Amino acid sequence: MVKINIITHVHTPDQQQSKLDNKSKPCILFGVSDELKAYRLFDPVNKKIIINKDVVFEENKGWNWEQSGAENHPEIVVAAKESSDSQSEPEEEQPESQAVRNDSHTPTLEIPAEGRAKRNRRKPVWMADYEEGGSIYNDSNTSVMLAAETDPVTFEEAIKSKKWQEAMVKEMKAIEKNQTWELTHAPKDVKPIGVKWIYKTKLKENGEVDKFKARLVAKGYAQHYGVDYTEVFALVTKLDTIRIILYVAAKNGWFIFQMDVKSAFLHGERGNICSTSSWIYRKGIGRKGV
Amino acid sequence: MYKLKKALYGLKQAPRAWYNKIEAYFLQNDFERCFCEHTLFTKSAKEGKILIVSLYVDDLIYTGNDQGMCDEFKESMMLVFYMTNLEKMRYFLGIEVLQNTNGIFVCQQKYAQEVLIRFNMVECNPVKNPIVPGMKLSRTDTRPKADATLYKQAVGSLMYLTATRPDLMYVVSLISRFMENPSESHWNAVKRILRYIKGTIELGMLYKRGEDITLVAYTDSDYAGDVDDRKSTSGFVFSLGTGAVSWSSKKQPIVTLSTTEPEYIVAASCACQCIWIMRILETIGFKGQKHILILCDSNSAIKLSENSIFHGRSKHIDGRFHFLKDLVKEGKIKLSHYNTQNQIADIMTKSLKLEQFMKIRRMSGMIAASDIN
Repeated sequence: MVKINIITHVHTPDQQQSKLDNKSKPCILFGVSDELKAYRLFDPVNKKIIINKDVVFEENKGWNWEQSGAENHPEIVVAAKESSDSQSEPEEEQPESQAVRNDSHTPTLEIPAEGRAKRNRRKPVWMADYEEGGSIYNDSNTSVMLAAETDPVTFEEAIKSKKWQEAMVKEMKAIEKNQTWELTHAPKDVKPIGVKWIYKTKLKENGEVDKFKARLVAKGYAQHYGVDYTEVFALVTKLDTIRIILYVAAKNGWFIFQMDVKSAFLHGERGNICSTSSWIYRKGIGRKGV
Repeated sequence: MYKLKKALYGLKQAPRAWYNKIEAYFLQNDFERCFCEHTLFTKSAKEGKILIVSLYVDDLIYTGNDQGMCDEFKESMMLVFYMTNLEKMRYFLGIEVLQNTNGIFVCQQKYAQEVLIRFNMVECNPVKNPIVPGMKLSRTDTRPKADATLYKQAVGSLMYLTATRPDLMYVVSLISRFMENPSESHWNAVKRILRYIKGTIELGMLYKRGEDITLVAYTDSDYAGDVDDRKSTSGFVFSLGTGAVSWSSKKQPIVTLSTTEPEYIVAASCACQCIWIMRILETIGFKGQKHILILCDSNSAIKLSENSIFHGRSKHIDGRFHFLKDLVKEGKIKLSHYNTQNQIADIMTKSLKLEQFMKIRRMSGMIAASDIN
């Protein structure tokens, strides 16, 4: 019989632990795995489901969800962060006798009262002179800066900023100029392919922002081999060829020029694209911002 | 619901559709497609005028001996397609190109810097050679395991650096053998390469102006260099005068019994590459070289290619490697002995002593960006 919700200790494989690490970590039993001869366990620190059979139970101790949900979670996360820090800086964990009691700052790992008792973590003595820097990431200014450097993932995110709107307008114009599609009613048995936007900030050689690029792509992964397409083909030159051209040009004192074809793939004729894949579904990419 | 009339990014057919379109354009405009490299197009006109175009998906480079033809090509491309970045070749596929009156210099300084940042090695101490001389790496070692994902990422990143840097070719192909199960000693080898890159970030290839074009191949192999399966490594470098244009370092597919055999095998695989390069050169207008010289440092391998005598030590050699014999007989390829001291291909097969390494690196045409002028 398996009692759900009791505290368990899962053995950490030897390869993943170093000498001073815990040999096991506390988890909550969630039942038995369907696929393997093992238990399903929930790791409250990493918020992950683990499947393992190397487990020791504490049958009379259960997990107190109310307490853990409201109070313990943030602290558990803090403690987890600390323990990962201590791997790189072992000095941080000093013997208790040397440590000065500094309870007001000490984040504690409190697995509920009936759980296994953990020792309190204290700040080491030498840390007394320092201001802890871990909190700068929560600073609102930094998070805005970080967000500005990463490209948006969804249409909803992108539509909020002007630069991405402009980029999307540009791409839509290129598509329309090429007369890529026409609005029709699809036959009944056709399964259309969805499309989505991809956003990317292009940088110049010196690292400055070159342009903001939005590209409308079809979800090619929805196409099936043999049904929608029969071959995948990429057109690339061997670098040897490029070097030979470079050498020959250098020898003769010719100049080499380069150019990029803008929206190259939009030029392709749809000659041999099978009928099922030639329908796209355009809900939500829309004209909202365009 | 929209019905597609043209291709869209992301469709599996998109690249093929694009290639059909651009190929049709080139053929309409009297370009000739090279039959051994589908992305190379040439157009020749009277008085030996020639225009060479190479395509890399949507990027293309072109050169030629006539300004008029270049301009005409540019105009006509702009009419048909919407083009950007029309300028002298400067930055192509992450490779920096510097063109001046002395020649053309290519390097990947910016990419190398990005690799160092990615693997957190910007502040590392530089070293002078990419591998400790004489070091052997084994698949089965007892050191703790390294992070396999990170290791694979590092190998992939370094692999692209070999586009302009033959000095990294051997070490990168060496570390890539341990991708499935890397240990700490393998990861240390990767870190040493990154430290070497840090010290030599400026290095690139210089192709000088006014050199003669004579294709020469250098081949070399070690003997049973892999401690796990006793297979040898073959390496070759093609040089068209001063700068190397093509290079390779690869573990051989079979176990060999004598030192002659791996040398013979590498000469055979080098001969295949020879023929391909000759065809490219012919396409872009360099005919006249009757045979290609392969410089090899094993006399017995040369003898074996000249005389079809079988004796006890060589009768087991697979028939496909005797492809070389036919080419020698036809006179397309000539094998000749070369002094080990100046053998450029050594850099592709073994971890050399520092002095020799620097000498060969210089001989292959590598130079630091700050030393060009």
